[in-house]
Amino acid sequence: MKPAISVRGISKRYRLAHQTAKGYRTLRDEISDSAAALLRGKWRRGSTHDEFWALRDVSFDVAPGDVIGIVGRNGAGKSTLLKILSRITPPSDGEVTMRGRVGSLLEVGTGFHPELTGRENIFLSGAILGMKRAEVVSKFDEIVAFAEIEQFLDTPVKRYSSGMYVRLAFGVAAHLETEILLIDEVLAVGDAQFQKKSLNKIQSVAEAGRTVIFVSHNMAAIQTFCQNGLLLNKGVGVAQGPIASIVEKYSMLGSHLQMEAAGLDKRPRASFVHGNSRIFRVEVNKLRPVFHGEPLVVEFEANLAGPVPDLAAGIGFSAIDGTRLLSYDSDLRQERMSATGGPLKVRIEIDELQLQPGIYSLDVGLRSGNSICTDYVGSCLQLEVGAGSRTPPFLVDGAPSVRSGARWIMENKQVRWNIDSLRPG
Amino acid sequence: MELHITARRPTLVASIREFIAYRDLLWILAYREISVRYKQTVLGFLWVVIQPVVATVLFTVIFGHYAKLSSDGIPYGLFCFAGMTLWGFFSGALGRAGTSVIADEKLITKVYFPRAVIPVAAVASSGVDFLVAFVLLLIVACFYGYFPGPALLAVIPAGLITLAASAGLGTALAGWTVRYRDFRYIVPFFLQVALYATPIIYSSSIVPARYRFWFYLNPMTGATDLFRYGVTGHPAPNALEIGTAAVTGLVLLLGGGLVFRHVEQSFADTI
Repeated sequence: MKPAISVRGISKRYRLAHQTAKGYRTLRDEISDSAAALLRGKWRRGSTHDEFWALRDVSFDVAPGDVIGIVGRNGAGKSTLLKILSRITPPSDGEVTMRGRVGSLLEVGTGFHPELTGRENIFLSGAILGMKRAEVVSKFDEIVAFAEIEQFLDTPVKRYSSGMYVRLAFGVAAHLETEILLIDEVLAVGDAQFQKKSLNKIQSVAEAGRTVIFVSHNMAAIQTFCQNGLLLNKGVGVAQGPIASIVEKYSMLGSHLQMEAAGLDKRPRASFVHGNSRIFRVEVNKLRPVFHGEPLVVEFEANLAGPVPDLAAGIGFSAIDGTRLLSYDSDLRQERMSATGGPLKVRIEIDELQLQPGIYSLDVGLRSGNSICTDYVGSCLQLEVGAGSRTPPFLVDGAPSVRSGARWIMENKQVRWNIDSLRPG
Repeated sequence: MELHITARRPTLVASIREFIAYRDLLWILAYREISVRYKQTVLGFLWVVIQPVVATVLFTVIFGHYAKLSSDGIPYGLFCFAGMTLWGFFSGALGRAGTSVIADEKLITKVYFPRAVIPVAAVASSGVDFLVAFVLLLIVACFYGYFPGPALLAVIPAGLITLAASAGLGTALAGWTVRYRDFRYIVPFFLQVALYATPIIYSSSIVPARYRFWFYLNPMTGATDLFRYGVTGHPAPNALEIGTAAVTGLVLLLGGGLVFRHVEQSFADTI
């Protein structure tokens, strides 16, 4: 059987213009550039542009009915590939052949207009996604039932709660019936219950024998839905195969970052270290990848040359520049351990890691009483925190930082919102 | 059904076929434009006619009453209002189409559909406004004692020429605006100049013979004369003049479409 999607040698080159900070050119730029180029004796502009290859010579096939997950770090070219497959932007080179009607969901609520009613937006969004009017009419009741917005059909969607909005938007998209479906990150919206509902919907799409390309940083979802995967790294297709092996290879991509550090006792100590305890080994998460919002375990081992009656341990996460961002101390409540000499094992369990995706360095230390630092190893290893299954998209590309929950109360003319981001998702 | 995606743009025939396949989207985008425009306004749809009416009153006082421009025996108010009604279609279409693609930036970067649907929907929405204003024009004409006869059919080719010209220019402007935001400022200025180059507030009969060729090269000249003939019985333009308007209108339509095809591929990257 012919593949449903065959991608042959796809490349995408972007030209990075030097002078246009505003992102688009004005006629004046063009005229003055051309004049300057003429004076310098070369007419063709473009010679001063930097080139950037978002994708380079990517090839793969997808069999009909296969559900394939595309994984890769930020900037690996996942979104560019999806934009080419969905024809939003043309490739610079190569060819894609798709056999079957193609639908793409790159965003929830594409084309929704806040001033229009729910009913009007169903037709608008449906048409934008490529549905014929008759198709929308036949699916209309199903969409409304899925979104649970019967009473608000004739209310402008700007008055909807964000939950209603997302349900309606996803409802329209989920009823798009095409043989090939391209999905990007649509799941990272709505509350937990709705996420589950939309995951189920995607699952049923996947089981209905349709060909699906699914891009997400949610490894759990990718592993649930996809049989096969494609790993992209820096615009190049690195591996294709069964999803489990692809996810494993993906986590290995970060292997230049350490998950453990041994021989720490041989490192020189700072002058504020006074004592004879020596940390010699640190291990993060049993060598498994670290994700934002998910559990993290840090273990370290030390040797105590003599008894310490009031021992405390601490770890800290710093940005690469050394700025401390998050600290944990065993004596936060003034409880300290009375330790005899000999080997010491410390294990720190964090339920929901609040470090957002990024690269951090880990500091570990031991203290006696309130002030004596008996050992301290600054940046004993560097670890990468990846986006977890509940990480909102706006955090994925953020700089290293700590995000905490809180109770939020937001008031506007007609509405009052209570959001409790402390409660477990 | 096989779909090929390459660096080359699809053939013209394939593009036109696809555009037609997306006609439902065209209508709903036009509906969105009209519906959103008058939401939360007190006067609502009345705004469609307020503009041409106020402009007509001003022009009637200044050019009809004081400057005493010839209106070929037709009451100046009706003469001018007929011109303004058709001109409103043209200028409204160009104004909306020009900024339509950049206004829908989110759509362009998130979903594929034939991009030309956006400016053409903007032109269509102006066409709907025109139909409303046209009904008012007929009422005003009856009020002046000019009752529509069989000649009224002439408004159909006049409307079609205007549609072709504004769809062509509108799509081209929409495409250029993505690249050069300058066109946002050029379009209103261009429309202001074009108003005086078209026989809206004056009669084409006052144009000296040696300029007539250039004058009629503007498709809106022939369209306006034809439209006025249909509504008020104003002397009809001759076949050559109508033919010229029809041909230039079609040339604009084709040219605009080709310009848009040339630039649309890079929209998602440059918008």
